[in-house]
Amino acid sequence: MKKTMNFKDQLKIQAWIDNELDEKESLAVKAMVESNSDAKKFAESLRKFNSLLTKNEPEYKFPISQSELWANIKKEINHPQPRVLQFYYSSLHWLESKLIPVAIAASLVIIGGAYLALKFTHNKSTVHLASEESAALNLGINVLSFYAPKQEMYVVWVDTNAY
Amino acid sequence: MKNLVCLLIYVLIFGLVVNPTNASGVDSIKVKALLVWGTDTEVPNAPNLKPLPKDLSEKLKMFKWKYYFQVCDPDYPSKELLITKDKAETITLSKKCEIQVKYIGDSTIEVKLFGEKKLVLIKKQALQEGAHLVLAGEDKNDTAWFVIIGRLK
Amino acid sequence: MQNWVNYSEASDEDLVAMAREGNTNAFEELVVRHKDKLYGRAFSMLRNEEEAIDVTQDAWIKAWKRLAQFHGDSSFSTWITRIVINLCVDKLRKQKREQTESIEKIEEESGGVERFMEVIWPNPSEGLEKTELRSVIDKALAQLSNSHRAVLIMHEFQGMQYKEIAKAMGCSIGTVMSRLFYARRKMASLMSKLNNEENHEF
Repeated sequence: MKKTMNFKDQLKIQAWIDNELDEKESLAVKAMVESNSDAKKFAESLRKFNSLLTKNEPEYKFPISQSELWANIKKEINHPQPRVLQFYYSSLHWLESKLIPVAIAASLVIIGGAYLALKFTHNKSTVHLASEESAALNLGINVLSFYAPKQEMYVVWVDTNAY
Repeated sequence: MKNLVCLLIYVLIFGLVVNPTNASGVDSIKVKALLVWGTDTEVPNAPNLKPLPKDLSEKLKMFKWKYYFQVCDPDYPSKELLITKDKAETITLSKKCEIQVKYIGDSTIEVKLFGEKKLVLIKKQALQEGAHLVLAGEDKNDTAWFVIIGRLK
Repeated sequence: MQNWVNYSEASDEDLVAMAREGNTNAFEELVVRHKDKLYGRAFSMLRNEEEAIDVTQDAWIKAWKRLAQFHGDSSFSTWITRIVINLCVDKLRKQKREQTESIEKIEEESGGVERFMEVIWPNPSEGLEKTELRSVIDKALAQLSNSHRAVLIMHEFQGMQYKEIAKAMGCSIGTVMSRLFYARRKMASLMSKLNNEENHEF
């Protein structure tokens, strides 16, 4: 019985085990594996070995303290990005995946998308400036709003102790 | 290329003209409001407090208090309200707490929160069915109050 | 103001939603939850503690700035570990280990010497302690070349598909397939040797 397999066949079996083949190719490889004992043995061993690796990823502890790590991160993030820039980056991400990078088309979508997003955002009025939400600023009320997606809750926290 | 640009311009104009949140054109919405008290005391000494339904308790777990109770005043029983467009309904939750809810269309409500007859907050919020608007704040002795307005199906 | 939320009970999705609104306490909770896994992924790839710490910190800062781009298509953990992996791949590209790479490149393209030999795969044994097995895997990973280790980690631990790995590494799918094949065979061979040296049974 043949002890070695064609390298191309081995790659195909690997791809089949990794669920990378389309239906037609998958059926062809499955038939090959079932009709060839070496291929079958190779496939089973590879599957077992992959499972062994996947289930036993080495674990590590972050070597510096949480307080030191957080201090380093907080130093950099203390000045949050303006909302306009946040939207700009998310638009770029969408463009990268969907459109041919044509300069005129990209500019039209960014300008139009910025306008639409500002007018029709899902969380419209989720975050307001305090002056829009507080009926009486002179009461010294501070407000924090956010949306909790898992709970489907729009939360407005009224802080009367801010001052 | 020319077709793509034309298509994009069309999409922009369409988007500018049509308000995407006006899909249903609903004239009224059904809401229910509750006043809830958050505390770390398991059995508070107050007869007007009753445990919350499980689904609401689960939602409030994101806050730091261990227990949540509905404040039930027999003079102001909680009820479901059908609010028609551009009409404001007043819901009294307790002697000290009242809200006025107005449906302004596009699934959006405007809520005015009154504490001891004083206007504290005005909030506009688009609210889909099953979602909740929570107005909350800290109370004395490290407890908290929550006004929970849910849109019913 | 931000001390009324029970951050440890909040889900990742809620924490992300709060962090998007500028709540740094929520973001800190995310850091606490995921820092070890993120560091682990970086260290596995780079095999250098200092570099892994730097990359992990950079990934958190990048994640903060890009929170608006997190659309919930995957879990937050998967999303941020992808950021770490991309940073690691960039770092590895800049490192000069060409000589080793080119020798292994020739080997991997021809399928390696191993392709002519019978496959020896370690068999898992119920008796083996998980920590011992992980230690062997860790030692074997350290002996792979950067590109083989990267492909293996991206596929086996991160669960990335061939085309995603190809895009991250700037190579073809065919190259990914060959590298992965070679990396697995090399790992198996290294683990067997380590197993014999330490008298373990898999």
